[in-house]
Amino acid sequence: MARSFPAPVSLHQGAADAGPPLLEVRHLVTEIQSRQRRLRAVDGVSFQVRRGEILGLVGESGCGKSMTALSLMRLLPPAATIAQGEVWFDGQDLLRLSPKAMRRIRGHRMSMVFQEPMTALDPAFTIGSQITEVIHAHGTDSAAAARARAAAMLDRLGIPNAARRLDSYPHQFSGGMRQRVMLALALVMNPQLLIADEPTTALDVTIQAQILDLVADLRRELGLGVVLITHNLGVIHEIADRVAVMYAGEIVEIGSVARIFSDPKHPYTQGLLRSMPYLYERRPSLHVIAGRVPDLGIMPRACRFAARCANRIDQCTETHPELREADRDHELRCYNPTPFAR
Amino acid sequence: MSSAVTTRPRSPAEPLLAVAGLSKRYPIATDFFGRPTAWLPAVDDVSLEIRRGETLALVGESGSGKSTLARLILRLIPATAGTIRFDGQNVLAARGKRLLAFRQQAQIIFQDPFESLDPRMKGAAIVGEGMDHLDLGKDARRQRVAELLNLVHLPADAADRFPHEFSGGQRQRLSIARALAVDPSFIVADEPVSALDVSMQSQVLNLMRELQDRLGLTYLFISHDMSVVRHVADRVAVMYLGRVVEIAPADELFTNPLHPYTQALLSAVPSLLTGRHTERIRVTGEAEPLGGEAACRFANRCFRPLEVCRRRVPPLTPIAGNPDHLVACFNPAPLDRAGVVA
Ligand SMILES: Nc1ncnc2c1ncn2[C@@H]1O[C@H](COP(=O)(O)OP(=O)(O)OP(=O)(O)O)[C@@H](O)[C@H]1O
Ligand SMILES: Nc1ncnc2c1ncn2[C@@H]1O[C@H](COP(=O)(O)OP(=O)(O)O)[C@@H](O)[C@H]1O
Ligand code: SF4
Ligand code: SF4
Ligand SMILES: [Mg+2]
Ligand SMILES: [Mg+2]
Repeated sequence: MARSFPAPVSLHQGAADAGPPLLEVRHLVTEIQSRQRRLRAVDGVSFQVRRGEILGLVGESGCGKSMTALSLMRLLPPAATIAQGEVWFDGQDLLRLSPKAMRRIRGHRMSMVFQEPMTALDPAFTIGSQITEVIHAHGTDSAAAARARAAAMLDRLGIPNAARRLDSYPHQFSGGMRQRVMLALALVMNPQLLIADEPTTALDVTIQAQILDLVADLRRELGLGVVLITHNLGVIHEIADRVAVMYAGEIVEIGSVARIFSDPKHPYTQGLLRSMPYLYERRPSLHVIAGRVPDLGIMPRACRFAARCANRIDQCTETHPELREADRDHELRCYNPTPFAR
Repeated sequence: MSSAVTTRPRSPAEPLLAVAGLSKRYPIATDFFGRPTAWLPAVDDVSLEIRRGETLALVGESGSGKSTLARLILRLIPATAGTIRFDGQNVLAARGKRLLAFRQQAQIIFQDPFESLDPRMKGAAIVGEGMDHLDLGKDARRQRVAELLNLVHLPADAADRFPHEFSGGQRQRLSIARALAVDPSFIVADEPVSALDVSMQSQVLNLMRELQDRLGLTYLFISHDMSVVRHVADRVAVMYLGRVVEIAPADELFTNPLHPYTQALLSAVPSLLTGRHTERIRVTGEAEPLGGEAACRFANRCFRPLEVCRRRVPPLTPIAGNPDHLVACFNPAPLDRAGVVA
């Protein structure tokens, strides 16, 4: 069973530049107010994204990926608040900006594609009017210029007859086309940073591949930085430069895609990789990571993965492991890592 | 083995389900008098068989007609043309008792475990829903619900919980228990794991296979995820714009795909999952749902069309030397790079 993964696609790699990070998240803590107490959905998350770099964020559902993304955009639901941390973007801490200043940045210099594409488009307005609305909110283009810009963006995204399709309504587009409209909304102002939350989960592979190609092109040509959230490790391997694995509100392993896929060290990362159904082998049964993500209300004090971990030692249930450097560009939160065997 | 759920012997001779010339078209435009003037062929002249105890996977991009075909087969919507035979009986002609018996034999599980369960009903009521006409006493019914929950590996207290108190994977197991309550022989699973993350996906797929082995179930499994299909399917049917374009045993289809669309579909699977690098076949353009004229529906996107492809509809025919491998293409050819390590 010792089979190594193919090296990541070189075409997509290495576009990141060496300058200061475009985005730097420092010790982000996001809390949710429940009836009796405040629960930590994101607990001390730190990472960086450089210009032209794609960072993948993976983990099971409920691990805090969307909460992290919404915190960066400052678009949290009412029950949630950012309790601590800094989000440095382009020289300023976004968490200290006024709501007005934040609105100017959002959709313009950083933008987000949300998890549910079908609900994010307004069925009552044409595709064109929804895109030009974004342009008018941030720019001074004339109506005709805004329409031309919207059409050019859709064209770029591979929508045939883009100029004519501006007058279509969302229901007249297929799922894959609607997803590309969502991307058009996010990209039309040429942002520096894109946050994409499960942008391809609902799509079939051919459309998923088209969208990933497009994101890869944009980062190469425009230096777009991307935070890509998905539970599909195949997608991360295909397109990302670095990957952060989240478990129960924390990053448990982070590093370059090349490193983490060739030498995954955290038992949770290893479990995720073992659970994938691979095309080249049909197994009698698929690997299951026994148990489930702990509820926010009953978070274990020490290692949060301990109840599900086969490598558990005494220390794991006594003290909380810190994220430490394991290798060059590879950090790990674990007391007892073992080599990976699939 | 629970006493209430009976095992059926497999008799391989005759297929459990045989569909011939099945079509469904929807009116999409009407004239002044409300008479349809244009039609969308959602399912177009489909013929296929499902053998007892096997899993036939149905793949294809969004809008290709997979769910419509499933609903036709279950008689949830009326067919425009064609025949369906189930266990030797004419399904479309069935009335009264015969129809009831068919509805009991053939059950469906849906994609979204969040939407397909009534939020106000507890586990026991959900699972017991289909048992009403079985005329079981109160105790016998409770006993059977407990057996079914046990069969799908849910804890006994699941009977007293509401849907929102389950994880996604558990909810999907609850809908499997509901489908099994009436002791069916055939289950249509429409994207049963598409909404789940990898570890819950493994749980549900393992359970489905275990139940198939124990109960001799026959599955029609709809998915757009090729690596999931690889794991569950005995045979695979590929749909494109309402038509089956290729059908073959799973090993054959994954190692020797012959239709250009199947080849594009396989080449778009991330390399992590295929185990090797393949040049992605980039199909351009959009699927054109209306079609109309006699031509191959894939001709506008095909990367090796012939002149005849724009004049005639390619029939689904067995390839030389393998009567189990059928393809609808005037220019079928093996494509080295679309193949997958077996
Ligand atoms: N009630 C309806 N009225 C009109 N058109 C319909 C109706 N139901 C389905 N269609 C159309 O029929 C075609 C096939 O739809 P279907 O839902 O079967 O696709 P699918 O293969 O299941 O797609 P997905 O992967 O997105 O679930 C689509 O073009 C769809 O828009
Ligand atoms: N609006 C909300 N109100 C209360 N809890 C929430 C809300 N949104 C998310 N949560 C909780 O926060 C945690 C992280 O959720 P989320 O960020 O959505 O996870 P992911 O995106 O990784 O699936 C989960 O425990 C979830 O139940
Ligand atoms: S710290 Fe211990 S329990 Fe936690 S993941 Fe590592 S080995 Fe497992
Ligand atoms: S019939 Fe012709 S156009 Fe259609 S898939 Fe085959 S080669 Fe391509
Ligand atoms: Mg999420
Ligand atoms: Mg469907």
